[in-house]
Amino acid sequence: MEKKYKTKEELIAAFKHAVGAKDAFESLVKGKMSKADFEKQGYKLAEID
Amino acid sequence: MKLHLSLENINSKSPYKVSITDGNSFSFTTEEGNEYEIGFIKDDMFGITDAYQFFIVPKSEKNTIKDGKIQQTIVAVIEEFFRTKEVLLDYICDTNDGRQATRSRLFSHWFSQFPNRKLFTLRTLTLYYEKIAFYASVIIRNDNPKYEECLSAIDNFESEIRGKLDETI
Repeated sequence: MEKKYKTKEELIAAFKHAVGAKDAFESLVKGKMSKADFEKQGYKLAEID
Repeated sequence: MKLHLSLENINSKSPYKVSITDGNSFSFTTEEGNEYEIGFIKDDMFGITDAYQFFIVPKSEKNTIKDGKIQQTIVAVIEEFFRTKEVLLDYICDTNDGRQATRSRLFSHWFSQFPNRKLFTLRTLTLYYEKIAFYASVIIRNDNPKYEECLSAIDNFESEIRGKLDETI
């Protein structure tokens, strides 16, 4: 289960991606970003039912 | 994994009526007319399958008076999220206005008031990157079948990234 990051860049990119999720979500909620663009950035909202 | 969250359960405990938006997030409107959206984004940072990052975003804020019902509404949603024991929730405090330390303390305070909090573990992480302090909190149910694996993955990620980020300061 544990993810192994091969390089420092890969690890920092994963961290920055997680940090950037809030801004992406905010842009999505406020209509500044489409869902397609949100997903293109590698973000995926949980499916709720 | 699809999250099976019951709106009925949420609304039985939430002071504000919560609705589902497009099957992917929750929303509610306060008495003051402020609208909020709550979302869970799949988070692969720790390499844990069922990890989700939690967000609450104001869609419109007409008035910013303190409103305890907002906290109660969020707690109702998170409580329902944790009806599934396999999931893990993480929250990275927004750094845009430099108030991330306050947000982290607030989140810990919320957690301290969380129903049945003894059934959960809270881990907090502080990381420094490019002279900015990042605060993250992770909540996991103590009876998560992968509890030890998850904590080990978080600990390893933290020590690995701390070492790497220190090199960038």
